Amino acid sequence: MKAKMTAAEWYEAIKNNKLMGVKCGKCGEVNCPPRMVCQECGSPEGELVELSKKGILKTFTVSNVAAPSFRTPYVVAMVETEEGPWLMGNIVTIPPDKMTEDLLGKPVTIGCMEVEGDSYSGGKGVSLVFMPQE
Amino acid sequence: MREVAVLGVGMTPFGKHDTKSCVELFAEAGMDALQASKVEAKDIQGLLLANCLGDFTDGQMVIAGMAAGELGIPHSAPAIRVEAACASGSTAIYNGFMMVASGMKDMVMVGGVERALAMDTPTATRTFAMASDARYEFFAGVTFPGVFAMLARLYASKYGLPLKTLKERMAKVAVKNHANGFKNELAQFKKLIDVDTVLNSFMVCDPLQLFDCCPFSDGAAAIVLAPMDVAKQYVDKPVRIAGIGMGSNGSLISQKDFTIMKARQESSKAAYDMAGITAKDVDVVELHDCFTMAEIVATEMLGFYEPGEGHEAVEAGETVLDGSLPVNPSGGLKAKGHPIGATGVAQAYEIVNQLRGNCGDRQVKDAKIGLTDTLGGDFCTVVNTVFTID
Repeated sequence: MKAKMTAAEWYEAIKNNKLMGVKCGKCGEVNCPPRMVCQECGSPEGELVELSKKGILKTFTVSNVAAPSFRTPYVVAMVETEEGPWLMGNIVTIPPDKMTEDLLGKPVTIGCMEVEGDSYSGGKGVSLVFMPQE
Repeated sequence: MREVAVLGVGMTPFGKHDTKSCVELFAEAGMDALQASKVEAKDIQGLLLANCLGDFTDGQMVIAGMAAGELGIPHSAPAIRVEAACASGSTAIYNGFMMVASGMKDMVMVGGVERALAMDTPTATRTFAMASDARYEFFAGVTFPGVFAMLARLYASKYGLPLKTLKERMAKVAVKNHANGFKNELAQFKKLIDVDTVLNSFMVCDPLQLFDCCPFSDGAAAIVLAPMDVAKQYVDKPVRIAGIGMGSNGSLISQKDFTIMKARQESSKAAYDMAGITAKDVDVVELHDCFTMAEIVATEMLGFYEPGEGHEAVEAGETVLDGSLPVNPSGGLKAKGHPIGATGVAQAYEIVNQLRGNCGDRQVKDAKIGLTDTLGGDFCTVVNTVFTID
């Protein structure tokens, strides 16, 4: 069975401002990024859907250590999307030293940026970017 | 299934071994395990060797076959490298258990080795990050301290606990494990610390500081497994593997609220059920404290405490050596060290010695039932093993 959408295709879509997922044909769960089967019920049935690119900030860290292709300090964060799936990405619109606990639970919008990558990542890649909203 | 027992165990000191290759380092632990088992290499019918990063640290693949040759294990014995990130060692034990329990082999060696200090810190950080989702997590620059830092913040926020309070309790985990490691001659850090040592150390990934984190380590460990009736012919105090379980998850993001680790709940339940025990019956536990926060959530997922209450047990002193639930008497990954392939086997080494009453100053009184808990990746894979002695 062919993938409904590969990682490479998913990243191409988000570069075009479309956050894509698969809505399960059996239980209705939205899976994002797409997986071979629904992570909730295991069904392979489903169709590609576009998500709202809205969520809330669940957790984050300011990283002062990194693999060679990243420049510290930087913020890694996780977001729960409006449709349910959790995603990992970066926050770049707030400086690392301004990241405070009161940001947890704040609404974010979801975009992306190109990152350098390395010889083990197949070169350049794309990271999601979370933008906290007032 | 046949009843499976541990004969002898062997382990090198954990720390820096920059003059030895992985094969040489493992052979030292392997010989110690053979001698402690009162068997010879020719008696070994299979080798399961856990190693994650030998390709990077030694430029060495087929390390299991190389190690079998180094130790003189017979040509007829399968030698298999096992990789499950930080749970590799315990995954090797899981496979060794199946070989013996099934009747396929009568005596197998299970071991693990790593030389993480052979890499510089950025390279080590990169290779360790290979245990997160390469497609959907690596490009955000997530690291392992980063994962557990995000866990700490998620945990504090979910359970309405001030982060400052949680950090103080996390620091107490480090203080305890250093106190235990101080009594372990094989530990990487034999150094007592206090809460201020932790709270004044370098901020690695906020809110995790340097002393919240286990070190990069070199080291090796090995054990020999056989059916119980065979084991009794060789050693006085064979230790039974009474139950073993392993569970899997997908990537971190697919787990959503990762304060609850379904793979760990399932894995420990499988191990308890096979052994016919519950969490309440466990006398001593060696669990995966790669970060202080990791120890707190592990005690919850293994069924010792309710979710959100593990930090209170630390504050109450329940997990110290003479507490109601001694956790990581060896010093844990935090103080003993974490040579990733060797870690699960080293946990078994400690529990076997605890059940045999061999642990001197860090002996847990009257320990008859011991548990190990080993985590691989960002909660992607978990192995739990119940050991008992008559």
